[in-house]
Amino acid sequence: MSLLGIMGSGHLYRLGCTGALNAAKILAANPGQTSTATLPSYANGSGHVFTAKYLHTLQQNKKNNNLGNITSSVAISKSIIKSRAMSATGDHVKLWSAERIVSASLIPIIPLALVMPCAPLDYLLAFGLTVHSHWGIEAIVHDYVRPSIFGETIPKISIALVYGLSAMTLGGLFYFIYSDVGIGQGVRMLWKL
Amino acid sequence: MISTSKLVCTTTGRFGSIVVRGSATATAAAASAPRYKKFAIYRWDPDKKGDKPRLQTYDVDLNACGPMVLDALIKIKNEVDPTLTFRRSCREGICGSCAMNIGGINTLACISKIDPSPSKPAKIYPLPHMYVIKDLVPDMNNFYEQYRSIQPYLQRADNAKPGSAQLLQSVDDRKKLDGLYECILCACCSTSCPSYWWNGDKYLGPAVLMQAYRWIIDSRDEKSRERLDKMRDPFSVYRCHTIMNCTKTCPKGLNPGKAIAEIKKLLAGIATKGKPGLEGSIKLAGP
Repeated sequence: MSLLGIMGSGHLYRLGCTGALNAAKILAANPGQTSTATLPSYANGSGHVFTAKYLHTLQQNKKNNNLGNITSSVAISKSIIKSRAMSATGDHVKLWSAERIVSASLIPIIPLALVMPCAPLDYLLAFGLTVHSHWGIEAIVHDYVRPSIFGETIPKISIALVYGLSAMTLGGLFYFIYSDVGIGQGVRMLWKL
Repeated sequence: MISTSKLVCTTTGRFGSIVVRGSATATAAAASAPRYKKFAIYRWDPDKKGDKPRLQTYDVDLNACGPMVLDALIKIKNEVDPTLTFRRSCREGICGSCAMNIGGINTLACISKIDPSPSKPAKIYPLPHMYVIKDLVPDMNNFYEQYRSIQPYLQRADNAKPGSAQLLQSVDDRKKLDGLYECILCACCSTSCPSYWWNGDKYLGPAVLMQAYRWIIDSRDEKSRERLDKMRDPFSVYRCHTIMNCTKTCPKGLNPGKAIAEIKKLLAGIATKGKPGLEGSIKLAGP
């Protein structure tokens, strides 16, 4: 039916078109349901929202009946709800609070560790800096190495790499504090050079 | 320069064929020599098979044109190239239809002055990282769907019939809505946000989040807890990294970045909504 029409509309978009592909997938999954679905209330108003209708009229007028407009706009809204539901796993609130606490506590810890170098402060500093940079880099990887571009596996590998890098950083810093002069003293010696 | 003539505009149902009736020519005859300015405009026609996006340059005499970029666009459509397609309606920055990228900045064409310098062409693109339907017309469906998902209407715990009573609100509580309710949903901010470019399917974006906050802190709304609980996931709100492009570009001078920060504070429990200054309602006399 209108499946091919929607797939074909991919060239309408400047970038990859996951929305239309998802819509096509949903149509393929339950064609019966979509054909009986009603038009969402936002799509039949006279306001701005006649874009999808226009887009699909372009594509499907020659091919099909008017039903295509209705089914495709429903399918698009379903695909959005679906992707929202996928992202709705996990609570990010505690992580955000922890990020703020670590950032705020680094403000006094950094100068303190430099002014009076000692092992406890060094361990605190090493842990704080590593966690702080880990969350920062993890957020960047989440933003840029995303499943919609790289597929399912590469993002997972990237996140694992970030964890590996952070673990190695933390291990290295702890080793340096344990077996050498420590971070605070090390920075002071570098400064003197 | 001075354009006193009134535009009489009518639109047909399909935006693809916006018709502008009447004359856009300036009544003030250009006494001096024409001042030509180049407008480089993004063009792409889905009806032409294999058409590639390109910039098309038009020369406009600024002495015979209104002061705003939208005036130039309408002049080009009326007098030079009727196939040029863009959205516009109110021509005074209140409808949000003519949001586009002008000289690298997302703004409304109707309230953005033409830079009179003849050396640089004015570059006009559709809103960045949106699917283009034609020329300067982006597909706003995802944006509107996200707006719908935050339930932008008053919700009461008792589910009373809307319009049956006047809900009381103190002056201070009403003040909290200032700077939020003025948003016209032009999507300039959302489409300037890198996080929205990369994760626009799951991240709600500054415009929608500011409206979410507008309903969360409304003293008359009794579902703020439920509204907040829908946003605890890593994507809806927390893709905001406080880049602040939203606040910088907002053509209405609003601050979506601050609204998102307030949502984060409410979610983390650093701030609370607080009790309404006035409660209760006045029953309206039935007709």
